[in-house]
Amino acid sequence: MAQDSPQQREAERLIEQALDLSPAEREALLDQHCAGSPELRRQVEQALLAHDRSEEYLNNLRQDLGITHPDETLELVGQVIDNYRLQRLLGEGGMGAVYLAERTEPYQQLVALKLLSSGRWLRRWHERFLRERQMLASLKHPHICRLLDGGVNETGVPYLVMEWIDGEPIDVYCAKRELDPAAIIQLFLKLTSAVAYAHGQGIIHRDLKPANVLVAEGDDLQVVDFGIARMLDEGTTPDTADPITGQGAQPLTLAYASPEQLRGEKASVASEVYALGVLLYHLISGRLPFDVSGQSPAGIERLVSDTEPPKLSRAAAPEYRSHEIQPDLDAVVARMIHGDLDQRFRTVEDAAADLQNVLAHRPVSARSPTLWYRVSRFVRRHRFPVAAGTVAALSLTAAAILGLSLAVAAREQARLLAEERDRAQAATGFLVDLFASLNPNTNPLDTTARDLLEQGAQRIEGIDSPALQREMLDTVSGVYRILREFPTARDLLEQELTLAANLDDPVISADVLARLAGTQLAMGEYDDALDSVDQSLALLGEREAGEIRAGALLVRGQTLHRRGETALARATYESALPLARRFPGKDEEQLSILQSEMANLANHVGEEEEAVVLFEEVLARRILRHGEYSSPVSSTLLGLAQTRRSQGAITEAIELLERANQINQHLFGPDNDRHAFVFNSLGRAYESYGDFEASEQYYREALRLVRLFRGPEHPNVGFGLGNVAKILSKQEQWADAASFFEQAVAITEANRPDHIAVHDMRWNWGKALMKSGALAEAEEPIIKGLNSLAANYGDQHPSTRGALEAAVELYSKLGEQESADRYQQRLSAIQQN
Amino acid sequence: MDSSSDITGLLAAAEAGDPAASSELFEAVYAKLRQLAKRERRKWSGHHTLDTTALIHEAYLKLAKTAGYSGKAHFFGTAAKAMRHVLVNYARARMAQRRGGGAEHVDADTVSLPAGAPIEELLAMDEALNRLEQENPRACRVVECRFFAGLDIAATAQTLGISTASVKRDWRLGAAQLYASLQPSGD
Repeated sequence: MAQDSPQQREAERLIEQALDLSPAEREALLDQHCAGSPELRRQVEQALLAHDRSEEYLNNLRQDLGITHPDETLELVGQVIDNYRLQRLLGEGGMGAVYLAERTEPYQQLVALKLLSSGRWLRRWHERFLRERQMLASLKHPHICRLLDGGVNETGVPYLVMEWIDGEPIDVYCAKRELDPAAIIQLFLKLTSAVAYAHGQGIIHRDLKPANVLVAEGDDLQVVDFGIARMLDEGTTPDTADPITGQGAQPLTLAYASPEQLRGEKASVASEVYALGVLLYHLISGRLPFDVSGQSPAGIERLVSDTEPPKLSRAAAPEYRSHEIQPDLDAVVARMIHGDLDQRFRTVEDAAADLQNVLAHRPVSARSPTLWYRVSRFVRRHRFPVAAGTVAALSLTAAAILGLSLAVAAREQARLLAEERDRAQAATGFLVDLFASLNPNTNPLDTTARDLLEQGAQRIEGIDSPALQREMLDTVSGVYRILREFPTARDLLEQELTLAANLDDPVISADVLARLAGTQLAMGEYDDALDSVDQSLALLGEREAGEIRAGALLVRGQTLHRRGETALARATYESALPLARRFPGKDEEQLSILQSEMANLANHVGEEEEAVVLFEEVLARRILRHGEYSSPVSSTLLGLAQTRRSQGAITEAIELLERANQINQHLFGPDNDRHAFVFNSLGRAYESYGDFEASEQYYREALRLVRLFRGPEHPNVGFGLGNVAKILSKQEQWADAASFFEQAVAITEANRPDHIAVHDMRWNWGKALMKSGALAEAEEPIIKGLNSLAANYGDQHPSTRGALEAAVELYSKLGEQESADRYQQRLSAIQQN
Repeated sequence: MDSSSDITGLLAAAEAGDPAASSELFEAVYAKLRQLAKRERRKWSGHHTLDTTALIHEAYLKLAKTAGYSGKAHFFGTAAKAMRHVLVNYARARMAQRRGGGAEHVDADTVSLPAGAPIEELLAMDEALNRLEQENPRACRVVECRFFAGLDIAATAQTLGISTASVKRDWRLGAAQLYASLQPSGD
């Protein structure tokens, strides 16, 4: 950039001058100086445009990188405002910067001085500001930070002086000390007492969030900035139309703003209940109920109004999920952040009282069944028109098409969540009512939901009406099945079956039998499961009852498949498919389960491409219906991963498995029997990948979980042992491998004597014995396994071939050359084919 | 070499014109900033902004408190450069992780940039700044002060000991050059 000519120098001068000016002022400057020289004007304008663009670009880049730095705050440290010397910057927020300041007169004291951002304020508001300040100074509560002083600095910027709390934001405080949920609630109750007190004085905080709740060592909690937001808000009354900020009544911290605030309503006691609920949710789970980052207020409003937040226990760490207060606290928090005002706690005191109940293990009002009935009815009645109204308002804009489909998806999700919740709540409510009607002398307040379930189950026998008795058994056994306590569920279903037999309706009996079969299948009692399902189908006979028949056929196919009878299983599934497709309305999940099982089977018999098609159809349907973070989606991912693995796409398989594992850990916490399946799959994937150590770890962990949750004799324990044995063999740890194979064969044989795995593991057991030097003991398992394989699958089968090789090696080692040659001949015969 | 008193001594020596002290000072400030950024990240996990001004300011206050050091201006220049390195090293570690190579976990652990942050652009900017440094070292300093330390024109002038007019000129020049080398043409 040479600066030779006078015109260039003039241009440079103008550019530098113009840079500090507003667009209008720039115009004026150029009008004045470039009157007779369009060339000069063009030059300057281009340079200015280029500069604005590059500055804007750098600013955007900085923001995208998350680097922020307010320019003016640095320079104020060291300055004196009235009697206060600013010592250092404590923090910064939307309304201004907070400094640690030292009071010099009349006595020394450290205080927090909040300097409100200039520009938001005009002198005409000062009077009002001072009046409000007087009122705030009257707030006296052990957990409210006192307002000490306030004024206006020489440039006209108002400031407030507060007690200085040498504490941390409550979220940081809780996280650092890893407080458990009960301790967090104890601390949180100090906050609610402060907020409730202020509400009693007619003062609303309006900006409740972690940064405004400071906690010093020893759980000393102080709420800061009480009512300051409101003072600002009052300063911008609607009729002044807020000429300064254009922000008006907009909430200050969007993540903590209630749906009604987002819709433009004023802050209220109810919106404070909401903010407190979000805060508690955040403290317990470390997350916010809604991910609002990067969204516009309108987008957040849609999200918050149309979606149910995930249950606290879904967002929280595993330790919380196993905490005894979890269900009750979930319910209380859900009511605090309910989008519907009628369903939210009306006051902070109400919410606090229920939190006290949680701590004292008393039933919480948030879970009261009568209330829930009312609530769910209300939601059903009102949700659709509300959302439809929103959509209609949006449809005028070009974005409406996108907005519409998003709103519809969100609404569907909300409906499903509500439905799921209603069902669980209705079942619980039923038990509560049941219990109350059975024993009016007991105070239900002394009982936990779990006790209720157990006592309810015990008391069913005392009911006079067999029909009612059966319905109750139905409910209770269903709850136990959901809890995966299959033996209890089975016992109850068997009782129910006896009752159903007296009702003279074979369809009911068939239904109960099908569910009994499903429970027996889950327990690994395959023979019993087949008996039950066959009885069920026999009872159905020629009757229509498509749904029940489809369910029964599904269980039958599953059982057959688990027993290794793949051809029969496939035929059974295929007969169920048209039925399941015909009844998608009530439970399209049944169709998904059926197709998943068909895919598993296809996978099992080597038809991977068909399996992929089936799994992908199921995956798409389930994501649409349940969302990514749901167990149906994770199990579909598992199936797809298995298929991909057998197609040889190992890396893709591991990715799918990790995605599924992430969902499961998120949903169920660390110790859950569902993980066994994922771990097995990961074990297999890493085995294919060649990382045997990782593989062994996963297999062992899967085995531990299966033993823990299914019992030591469950068929899956046999397979789990076999997996560990196999991976030990690959690492040539032969003695250990032999011991695992031995146990695996014993358990699997007891359950499924004809399963190919029994024969396969048997000769492998022998091979491991042989490799570890126990030649004499090796002979029987190798030959027995080999003979069973050869008889059932022929010499061509890879397993048989492996067994033949083991036999050759064994007899060579034993020095029985004749036998070795005999098996070698069979091997050679295979190779010639 | 990371205790505050060492840094303060180095600050004094660097300001007195000792070039060896300058480079040691840089290392020390760099370490301090990383430490602060790490703590900041833990404190505000979930928040996706890194208030670099506040970090640098706090680093300065920590040093100033221990030895009454008042060479604020010189410090900011060094800190801006150090902040640039903290961020760029973090971006490099993230790139390496993305490619699956051996990542510098230390740095990845130190600062957090928002998910989806344009780290490639940050790295490209770093290269562009290196080129700028060759042609016009002072402009490079100005950009560092303004972009990474968030100093305004006046504070930058004070820090670098030059006139505000020079800062404005250098800033315009530097920003234009970065824009030209970072922004794909045709926009």
